Amino acid sequence: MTQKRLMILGIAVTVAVLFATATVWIDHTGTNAVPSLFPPSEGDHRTTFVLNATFPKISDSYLVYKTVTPEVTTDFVEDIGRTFGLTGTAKPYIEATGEICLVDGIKGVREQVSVYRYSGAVVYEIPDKGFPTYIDSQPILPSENDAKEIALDYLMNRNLLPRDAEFTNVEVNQIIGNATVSYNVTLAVRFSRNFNDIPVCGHDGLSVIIGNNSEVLGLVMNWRAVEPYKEISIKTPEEAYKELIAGKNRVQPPLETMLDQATINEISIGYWMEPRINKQEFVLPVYAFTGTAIDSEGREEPFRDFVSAVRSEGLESLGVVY
Amino acid sequence: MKRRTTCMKFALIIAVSSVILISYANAGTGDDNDATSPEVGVEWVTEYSFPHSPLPNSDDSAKAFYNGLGNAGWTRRFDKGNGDTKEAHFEYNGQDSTYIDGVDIAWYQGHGTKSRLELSTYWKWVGFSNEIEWGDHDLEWIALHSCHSTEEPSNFKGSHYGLNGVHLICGFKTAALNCVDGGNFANRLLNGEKVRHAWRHAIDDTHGSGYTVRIIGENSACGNDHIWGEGSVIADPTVDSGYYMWTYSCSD
Repeated sequence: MTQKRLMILGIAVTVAVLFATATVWIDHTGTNAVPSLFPPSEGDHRTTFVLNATFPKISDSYLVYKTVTPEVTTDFVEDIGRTFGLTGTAKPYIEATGEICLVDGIKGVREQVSVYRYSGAVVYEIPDKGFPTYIDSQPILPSENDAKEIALDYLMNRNLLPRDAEFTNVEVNQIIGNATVSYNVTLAVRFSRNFNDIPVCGHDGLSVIIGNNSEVLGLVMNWRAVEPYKEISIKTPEEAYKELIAGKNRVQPPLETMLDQATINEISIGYWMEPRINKQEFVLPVYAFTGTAIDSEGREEPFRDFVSAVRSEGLESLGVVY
Repeated sequence: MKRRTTCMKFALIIAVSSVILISYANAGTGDDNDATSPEVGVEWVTEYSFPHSPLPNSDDSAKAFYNGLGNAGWTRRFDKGNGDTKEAHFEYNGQDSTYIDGVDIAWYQGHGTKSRLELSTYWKWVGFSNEIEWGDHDLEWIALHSCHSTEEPSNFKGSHYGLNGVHLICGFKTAALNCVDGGNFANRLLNGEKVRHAWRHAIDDTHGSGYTVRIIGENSACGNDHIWGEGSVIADPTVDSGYYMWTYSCSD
């Protein structure tokens, strides 16, 4: 072999070695780091994960719930509207999301209530008061304790407080302003629930929106009715963590940020609820992974993601696809 | 002869002064029959390379927005995805007057941060504070469906003004989920919702607590805007170093 050919062969081998080295990927699987030559071929998740939590103990089985969705018609929505003191004719608003809306301007200001056909969720608001275009002074908002009492009175007086609702927190949910001054416009008093002491997570909650002079200006109620269906065994948290790393069996879409690293500080079980615009027949257990993440600019932010706790054969038997 | 020459010079001075004054006071020098022939364009990215995650819903979401308005009579100008998205489409020294700033409403969905849009994993980025000037040609409203896109409003008043006549920039203060929100947003706009209400409602329908939207406007009056043909639209605002913002936290 000529010297020239030897040189070409040497260069080719060097390039091949460099390529293989550049594609080494290490999977973090809890306490064991498993190096592999190529990135994971399954799933889409490329973020590096660091485990800083213990795996929870799990039960032999968990109850699956079936949702009970009301038949949401325009009459139904008009009934709901009367709960808020609204009159008028409800009309289909957005077909794709199943939203039916009733708008009432009889008091001189627009009030509206929407009910979503696929979930029974209710959204009530007074847009111009609840979400003003401009304000030039700080609205007078109640204290946290007063806000909680105002919300409870409002809900109980309208028979809207579910028996299993638990107070969660009060937070500022709207701020408007300019570069030099901004104002807290409204508070949200939030409620959540558990199924057999297991938190319901995802898109499930009740929020009462309170604004200037403690006026209730809105309500958001994603609260699907459920009934027990059957018991089901679930995968181990170790299995779920591997799936999180591999980007498999997530129950919600990925984040639109490029995360370099995520540190998991807590792993828990919850029951997953879909957004109000989605149909959902069964309520299933999920693993919730909570912690912090570093984005592509090196900034730390909260991290939370969910992996189905039900094995694939269980999902198939229920006809569920994530 | 002398008088004629003087008159011509005077007329020329008046004409040049008028052009300068109009250009400074009114953005949107490329406004072209907006009210009667409004235009829409979208750019989206699903494919991000290792080690960062793809966004499988960006195309469906962007196209739902594009076709939602298109089917209602808006002129479809461009639908660019993945390799066809270009930084130049967004940038003032690129082709923005043909793309992002060449339409009345635009949609971007893909990865992002508080300082840039990330059109690919490496080196295909659009910086907010120094690479964009939106609204000085045609753009009235833009939705940036990406994480933290409007978290730092001052980034749109950097060494170059991203808020340069555009009425509203709709985005996220927090992270965002890769949901198919485009069609819902378009439907709400076409139902006569104000732009900022439509954005808030559409995102609230799919995101829960922990996610916050932020809409930035050149001034507070921009917050009353509907899209063309569905309600009032303010005249293109005078551009200055200020901005106004509306921040809403989603509910579960």
